[in-house]
Amino acid sequence: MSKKTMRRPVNLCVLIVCTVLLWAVPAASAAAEDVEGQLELTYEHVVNVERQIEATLTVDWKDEGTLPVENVEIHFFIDAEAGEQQLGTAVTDEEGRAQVTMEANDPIGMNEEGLSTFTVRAEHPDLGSLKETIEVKDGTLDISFDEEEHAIHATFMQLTPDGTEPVAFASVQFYVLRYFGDIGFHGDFTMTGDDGVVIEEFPKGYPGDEEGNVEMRVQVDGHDSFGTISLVVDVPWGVVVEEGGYDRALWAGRDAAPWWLIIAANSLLAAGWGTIAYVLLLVVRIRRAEPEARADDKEADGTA
Amino acid sequence: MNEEIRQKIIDDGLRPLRQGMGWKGIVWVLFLLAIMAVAAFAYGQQVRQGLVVTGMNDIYSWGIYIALFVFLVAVSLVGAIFSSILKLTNFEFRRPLTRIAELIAVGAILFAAVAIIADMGRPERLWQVFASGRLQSPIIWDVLVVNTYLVIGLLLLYVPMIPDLAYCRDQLQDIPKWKKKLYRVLALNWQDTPRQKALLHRAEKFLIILVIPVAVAIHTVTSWLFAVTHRPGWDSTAFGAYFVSGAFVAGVACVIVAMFVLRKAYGYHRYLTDKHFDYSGKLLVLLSLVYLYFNISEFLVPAYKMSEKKGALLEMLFIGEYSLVFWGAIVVGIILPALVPIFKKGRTPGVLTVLAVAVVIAHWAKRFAVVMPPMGNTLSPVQIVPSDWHVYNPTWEEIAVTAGIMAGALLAITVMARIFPVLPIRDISQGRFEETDEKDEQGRQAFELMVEQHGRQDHE
Repeated sequence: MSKKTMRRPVNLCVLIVCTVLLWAVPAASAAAEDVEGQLELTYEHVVNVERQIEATLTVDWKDEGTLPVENVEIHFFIDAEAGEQQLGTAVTDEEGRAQVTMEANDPIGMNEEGLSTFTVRAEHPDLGSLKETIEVKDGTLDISFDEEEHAIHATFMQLTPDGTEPVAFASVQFYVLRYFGDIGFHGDFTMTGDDGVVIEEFPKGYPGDEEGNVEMRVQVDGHDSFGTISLVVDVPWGVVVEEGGYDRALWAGRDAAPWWLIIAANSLLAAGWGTIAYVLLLVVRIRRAEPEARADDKEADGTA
Repeated sequence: MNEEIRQKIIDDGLRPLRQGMGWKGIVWVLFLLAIMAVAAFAYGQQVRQGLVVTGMNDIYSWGIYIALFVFLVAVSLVGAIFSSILKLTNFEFRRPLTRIAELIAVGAILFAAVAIIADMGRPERLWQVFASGRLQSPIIWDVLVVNTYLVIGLLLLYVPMIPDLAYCRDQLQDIPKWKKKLYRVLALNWQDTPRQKALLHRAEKFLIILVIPVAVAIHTVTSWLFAVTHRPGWDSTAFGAYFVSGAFVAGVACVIVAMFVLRKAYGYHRYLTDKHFDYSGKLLVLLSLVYLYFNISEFLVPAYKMSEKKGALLEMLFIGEYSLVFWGAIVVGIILPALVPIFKKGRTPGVLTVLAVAVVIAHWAKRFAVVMPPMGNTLSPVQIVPSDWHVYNPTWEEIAVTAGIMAGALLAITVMARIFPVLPIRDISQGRFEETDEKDEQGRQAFELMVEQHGRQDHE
C-alpha cells in the first residue's frame, strides 16, 4: 500500500472532525445563549395568619417557550435595620416554585416610605447567579357587619411606620369558601373609596355550619404595591345545617330517602339479581348434569 | 339428510374460528389499536393534569363522554330486541342475528361503563360512587342498572352459546391450546343430554324474560339522569320512552352494519340472506316511525308555546348554533330510515347498509344534541367566569379518548367474533329441524334445496 493511499483515511478523519467541530461549536454556544434564567417574586399576606414570598424560576427556551426549572436552591432575604437578613432556603418544585413563609407578626423591616424589600438569590451551573428583588407595602384588611343592610364593610389600610392610612381605588373581591371552589359574590367594579372602605351585600341562603356560619374570604388580588392580601372570617348569615343533613351533597342525607322508595327499589333489584343468581345456579347444574346422565346411561345399560 | 345439513351448519359456524384473520382483519385490528394507543396517551394527560385538559368546565360539566355513554347504552339495547322481543313473538328471521346482536350489546355496554370512568377524570373516583352514593340519586340508579344489564347481557350471550361451545370443543382440532382450554371450560361438560337441554331451556327462558324490563330500565334510567333536572330540554316526562325508542333505531342500524360486514367477511350469504336485510329494513322503518312520533311530541308541543327558557333552547336547536347537528340527526337518523326502506330497493343489502351507517352516525349526533345544548342553560346567573366557559369545544384529548372508547367497543366485538361462533349453530339447526309441524317441514325442504344449490355453486 502506497503512502498516498494510506493518507486518504487520515484526511477523511480530519475532514469529519473539522466538520463536526464547525457544526458543534456554534451549536453549543448557541444553545448556551438560548438559556436565560428568570426569577419572579410574588408576595402574599393572609391577615393574622402568615406572609408568604414565592419565587418562580424559569428559563426561556427558544423552541419551547418558558419552562420551569426544578430542584434549584433559592435563598430568601429581607432588608432589616441591621442589614440583609436571611429568611430561609427552599428548593424549586416541578413548576419552578419555591416559597418561604413568615408568621403574621414577624417584623418585615419597613423603611421610612413604608416599603419592605425582599430579595432572592440562586446559583445554577447553567444559568449562573440569579437575583431578584421585590418592594412591597404592608397592608391589612378588616371587616365589619352591617346587620341592617345585610352587608359586609371591608376596610383596606396601609401599615406605615407612623400608623395606618386608607388605600383608595383598590379592587376588593369577596368569596364564600366551598369544598370544590370558592363562590365570588362581588360585582365587576368593587373598589375602595377614599376611606379605604368597600361595601358588599352578602347573599342570603348559603348553607352554613350547625351555627349558620359561612366562611368568607375578602381579598385584594395581585395589587401592584401590596401584592395579594386576604382575610378569612366566619360570617354568621348562612343557613343553619345540621351535621349530615345537607341533601345537596352526594354523600349525605341517605336517611332522607322515603322508606317506600328504599323497599321498592331494593325489591326490584333483588328480583333482578335473584333471577341472575337462579340462572347461574342452572348453569352450574348444567355442568353437573353430565356425569348424572352418564350414570343414568350406565344404569340403563346395566353396567352400573 | 338432516344430520348432513346439521353438520353443514356446524361446519359453516365453526369455519371462521379455524381460519386466520387475513390481512384485512389484521389491518382493522391494528387500526383500532392505533386509535386506542392515542386515546391511552390522551387519557394519561387527563389523569396527570385533571379534567382541565377537556373542554368541560363549570357550565358544561358534561361533554362528549356523556354523549358517547348515552349512545353506547342505546346501542346495547339491541340485544333485548333480537334475543328477547323477536324471540318471544316468534319472528324466525331473528335466529341468525341473535348472536350478532348480543355481541354488539355486550361490547357497547362494557365500553359505556368505560365512558363514565373517563368522564370522572380519574379512575379511582369510581369507588366514590359505591362508597358515597345515595339511593336518591339517579346516578346510583344508573350504576345499578348498567351493572345488572351487563351481567344479563353476558349471560344472554353465554348461556345459549353453551351447545355451540361444545361443538367448538369437540370439532375444532387444529387450534391453539388456550383456545381448546377456553372452549372446554366454557362448554361446561355439555353432552346434549335431555337433562342439560331442559336446564338450558329454563335458563334461557328466564333470561329472555328478564332482559326486557332491565333493558328498558337501563335506558329509561339513563334518560332520568337528564329528566329529573329542571333544565329546559331535559325536563320532560316522556324522556324515558323517547330515549328507548331512539335506542332501538340505533341498535337495529348497528346490527344491519354488523350483518353486512360478517356476511362479507365470513361468507355467510346462505344464513344472512337478502331476506334478513329485507326484514331488518322493515323493522327499521317501524322503529323510526315510533321514534319520529316521540320527537314530534318532544319538540312540537314546546315549540307551540315557545316559553322563555325552552324557547331559547329550541331556537338554538332549530336555527341556532346546533341546528346543523339537530336537523342532520333528524333527517338522517329518523326521516331517511323511515322512508328509504319502504321501497324494495332501499332494503337491498348495499343500500340498507349505507343507510344504517349514516343512521348510526346521526344517532351519535342526536345524543350530542340532547346532552350539550341544555348544559349551556344553567338556570342560575353565572358570575365571574371566563368568557370561553360559555361555549363547549371538545379538546383533542377528549376527542381522542372518545374515539378510543369507540375503538375499544369495536375491538371487543371483533375479538369476540373471532373467538366465538357468530352464528347460533344450535338455534339455527333447531329452527330448521326440531319443530316438526307442517310449516317447519316446508321450511326444512326449502333449506335443503337452498343448501344443495349453494353447495353446487360452491362446487362450481
